[in-house]
Amino acid sequence: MPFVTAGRENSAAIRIYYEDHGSGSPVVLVHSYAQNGHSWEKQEAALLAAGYRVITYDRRGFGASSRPSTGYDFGTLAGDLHVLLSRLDLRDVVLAGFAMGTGEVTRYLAVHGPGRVTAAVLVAPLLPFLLKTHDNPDGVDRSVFDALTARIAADRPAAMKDFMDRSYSVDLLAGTGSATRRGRTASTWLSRRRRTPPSAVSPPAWKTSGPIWPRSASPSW
Amino acid sequence: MIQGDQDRVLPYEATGSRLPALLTNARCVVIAGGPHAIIWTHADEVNQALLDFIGHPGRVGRRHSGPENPPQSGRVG
Repeated sequence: MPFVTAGRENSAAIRIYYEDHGSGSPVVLVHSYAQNGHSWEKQEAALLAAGYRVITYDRRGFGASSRPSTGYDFGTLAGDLHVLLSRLDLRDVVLAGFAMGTGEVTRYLAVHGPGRVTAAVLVAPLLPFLLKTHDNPDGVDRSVFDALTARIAADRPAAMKDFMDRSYSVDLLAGTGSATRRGRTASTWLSRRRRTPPSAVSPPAWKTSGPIWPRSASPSW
Repeated sequence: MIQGDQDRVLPYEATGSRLPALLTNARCVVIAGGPHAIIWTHADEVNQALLDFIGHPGRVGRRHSGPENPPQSGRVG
């Protein structure tokens, strides 16, 4: 299994698992919260068929990557992405993120610059800013996120079920969608849940400063 | 930018809908009825929007977004 090393924690390397398939111009796909690189499988197949090289990876703390106790701010997470792009020496990259992954995409461009990137794709974006601050009064109060963090710490499986149900709108798509869509929703829900690392209590990435999270989103967890 | 208009994790009105005014040279596609996890539930629509934006290398004449592929917004689904 291929990895790049993004640092160390005590006696062990922090290793980022990635997959690198196909040939052509590279497309790097950054996954969302509570999932891993395999969540892009339908895009990976379409991009490979269209003639792209497709790179997916698992964010630290997710999937097959290491689970260090630190480094879940977007500065560090974008640094992990930078390590991957540099180590593979990718050029003219299409950089695509889904949800939390759009944080890495935008922070990468802000910190490391667009030199390796030819286009950015933001799917279900966090942007432009989420956390309520003195200069962002329409944002979501920090207490919402603190409560979510506490709920994950108290009963992560229950919190994950709620999050996945909300993400896939299971009540709508599983109840009124086509048979195909209903099956797809159920299978991916179970699959992603099973792949969620058993010890991953999501660190509070939203405490990172900077224009990453949308300003007035009200997720009402 | 691609987003479902029924996103209940990051509501479109609070996130994606605000981006066109803040970005230059952006193209936005809103998927009607799409939840948060559109890369799975609406994969066909997402893939079409993605390839329309970055180009089809197998097809002559369209590559990446650029002057020949100007910014625009649209809805699908």
